[in-house]
Amino acid sequence: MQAVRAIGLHKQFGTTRAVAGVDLEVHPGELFTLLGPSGCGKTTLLRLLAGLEEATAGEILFGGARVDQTPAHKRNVGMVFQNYALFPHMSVEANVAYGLKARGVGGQEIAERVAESLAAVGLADYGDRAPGQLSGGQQQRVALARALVTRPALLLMDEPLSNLDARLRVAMRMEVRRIVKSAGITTVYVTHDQEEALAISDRIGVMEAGRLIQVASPVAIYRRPAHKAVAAFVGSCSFLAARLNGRVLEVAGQYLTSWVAQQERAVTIGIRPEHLHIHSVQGAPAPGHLSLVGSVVGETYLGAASSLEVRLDSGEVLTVHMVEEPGAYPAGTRVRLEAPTTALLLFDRSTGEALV
Amino acid sequence: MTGRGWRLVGWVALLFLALFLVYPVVRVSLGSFASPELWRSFFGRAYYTGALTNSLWLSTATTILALLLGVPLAILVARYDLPFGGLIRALAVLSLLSPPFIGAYAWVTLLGRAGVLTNWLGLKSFSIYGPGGVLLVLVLHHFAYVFLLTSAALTRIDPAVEEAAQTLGSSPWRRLLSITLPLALPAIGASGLLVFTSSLADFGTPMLIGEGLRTLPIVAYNEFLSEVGGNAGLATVSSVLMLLIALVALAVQAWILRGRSYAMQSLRKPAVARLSPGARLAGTLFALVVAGASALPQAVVLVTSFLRARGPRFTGELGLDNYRLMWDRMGEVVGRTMLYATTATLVMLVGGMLVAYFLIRRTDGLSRSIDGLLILSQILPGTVLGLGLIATWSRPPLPLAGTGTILVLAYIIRRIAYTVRSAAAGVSQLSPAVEEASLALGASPARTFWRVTVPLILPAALSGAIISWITTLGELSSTIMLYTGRTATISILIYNQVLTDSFGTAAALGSTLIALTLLALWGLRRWSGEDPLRF
Repeated sequence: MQAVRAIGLHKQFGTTRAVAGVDLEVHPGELFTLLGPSGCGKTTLLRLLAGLEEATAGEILFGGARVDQTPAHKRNVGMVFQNYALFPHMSVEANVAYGLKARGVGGQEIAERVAESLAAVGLADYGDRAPGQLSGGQQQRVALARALVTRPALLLMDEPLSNLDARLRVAMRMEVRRIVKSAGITTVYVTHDQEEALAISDRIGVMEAGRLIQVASPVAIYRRPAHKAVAAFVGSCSFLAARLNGRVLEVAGQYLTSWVAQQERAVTIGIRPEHLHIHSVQGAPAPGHLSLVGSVVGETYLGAASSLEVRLDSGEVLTVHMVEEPGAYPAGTRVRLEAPTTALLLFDRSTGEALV
Repeated sequence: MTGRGWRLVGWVALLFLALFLVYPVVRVSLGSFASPELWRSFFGRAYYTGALTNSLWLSTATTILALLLGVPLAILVARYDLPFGGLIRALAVLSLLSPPFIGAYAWVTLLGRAGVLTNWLGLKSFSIYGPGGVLLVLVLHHFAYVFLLTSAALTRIDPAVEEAAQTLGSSPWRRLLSITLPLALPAIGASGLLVFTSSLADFGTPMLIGEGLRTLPIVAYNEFLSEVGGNAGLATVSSVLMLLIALVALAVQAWILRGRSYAMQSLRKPAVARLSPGARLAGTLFALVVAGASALPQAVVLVTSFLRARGPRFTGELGLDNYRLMWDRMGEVVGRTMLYATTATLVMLVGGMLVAYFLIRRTDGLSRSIDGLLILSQILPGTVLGLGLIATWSRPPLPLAGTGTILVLAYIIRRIAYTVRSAAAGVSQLSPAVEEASLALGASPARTFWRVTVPLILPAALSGAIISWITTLGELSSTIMLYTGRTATISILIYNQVLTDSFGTAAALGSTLIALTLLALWGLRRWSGEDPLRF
């Protein structure tokens, strides 16, 4: 198990800065996820680690040794691609054996390790098949077995589940975590699916515009987003304009006591849907709560839960989790929303950074 | 291979094309422009200007007629439930397997003065000889290019696009004219250019049945090789004119196709529409007559090779005399032809895959230059290349005139573009992730190329190489400028037999050529498990 470090990593394509100064430390044996919208640079960062792209500037270290000048085939990494990239002209077995042959491993050992590795992904009987004869999920497992069989120092996975259907994706992500964890390999996993990232990772690095804007555990990423962009991308979040002066938070004509103290500045409040509760317009605001009045504009029914869209009189639209029966609040109904001030997320309005 | 290795591949390819394509052509062109009186004497005499007008109208008319036959046939076979679709396609492929001049003399045995059909039908005034006959033979030979390339493009169109037009209320005719044909236009345009340049450069057909119909390749050949009164300078003028006409045709094609490049990726095949019984019968008859007529020469050659002949006349008795007569020379000539064509094809296959990879994966000035030179090699008439190679490489440091090497070099230049183009199609279908997976698994770039890339693009490269090989076996226009007695190939031998009206022996040689081609195709099909001739 090796630690992976990137120091001041840059990658420029023409005039586009795909990776703009990334410092990253992945702990030995950790499953680390790079999360971000498409075009944020997460795949480029992964390909820099693999050696498939050459960094414009910066250093990459595997277990303390510089590798940024080492070509891809000498870095001892394993990589799983979005479209699996199985060799279509080779059998499943030959695909898995490929990396071992390239390393000059002996025939007997190759046969043993290939069998072992196919068994680990539950495809022991599929060695003779051609990749084209397998289902998407099976191809995914072959790709994983092929990447793991060489016992790489680092496993890189580029949106490996995005080509699978929704049900299989959920099943496979637990399977991937189980296989990777039992192999004990340091893993960097790229995805744009926030739910997948929260479910699978030890730690998550959220990327935006070529930078890492937060690195933390899934719980911390969701509960204490370091940036407005993180709150917006991970989970659902509604935003309101406000002003903060010391501990006094002025929002929608109310003065509340904030849990942070800062010099006077314009801020953005973030509220998660589960922290907003629906009350009748006539009731009085509870102490220590933000109270907002508006009209229902629509309802999204999701089976287990529903959410309500409420347009405030000031114009902003908030998303609220609904515990009542579907249809309890038809469009146009006037409602009052309450959220405890302790649950409010506060961001500097100009930089987007979280205030603590 | 590393970036530096690939640059080396690019530079070697460029050097090869510069030495054996650009330098000869430039030298021939400069030679003719250096003496304006050559041009004056060319344009001052009706003998030469007639050749220019003949070449122009003949190749233009061939192109238009081949498009008028090939495109509707492609639509019928690719999009309607026509019976015998496979047979029609097979006949079209068959017609391309031998060079057009074999078709020319096959038509002579059918419709010449002593022709089988001429006598049988009592045709007194009709004759295959002359401009009309040349046009007929060229059209019947070349329409197959249009048909095969267009029907391949038609089956690649994503059916969803046409279904979208349908849901938007477009009638079948409107859909054909506004969606289907425009999407197939790049293939139609490419086949049109191929027909134009190939019929412009065709030497054998007008020579054998033109009856004095002068065209530019004939003038170039006569002036260059004629034992009495030839003027090599006028041969270069004809060559430069052919090159200029081909370049204008290329420009016209590029202008028509400007901005029209569609990447179509679809797993579904387009739907096949039903025809009314009457239309179905008419369409089937039309397709069978056209495809049958284009493949008829092959059958004629095969049958007449087993007929006893006295000079140009067949006696009607069966026998192997034709083969026996040619037996002594045939073994040697066939062996030599196979050696030249196969050597050239192996170079084309290996070089073609490397160059194709370089062209697709690196787009820089170097790859664009190579790409442009490959286009030049495709439209360059064989006579012009032959003339240029003789003019440039007969003296030290590299005296190649009269050797087999110069023929092999000419064949590589003439046909490598087919192999490169189809290998390139294979490379562009190959996801870079597959190669990256190999690198990530620890295989070196060179190992990755030979173990992963080559096996995956080989089927595509082979299908191009087999076309290169077949057309090289029957190559006449450059061979006739470059051969000597010691390096004569089978096409030269056939040409000489036809020229001396020995149709029986010509048929025996022609059948041997066709048999070799079919044998190679069959072998390749068995080996690779798929149809090697993919258009």
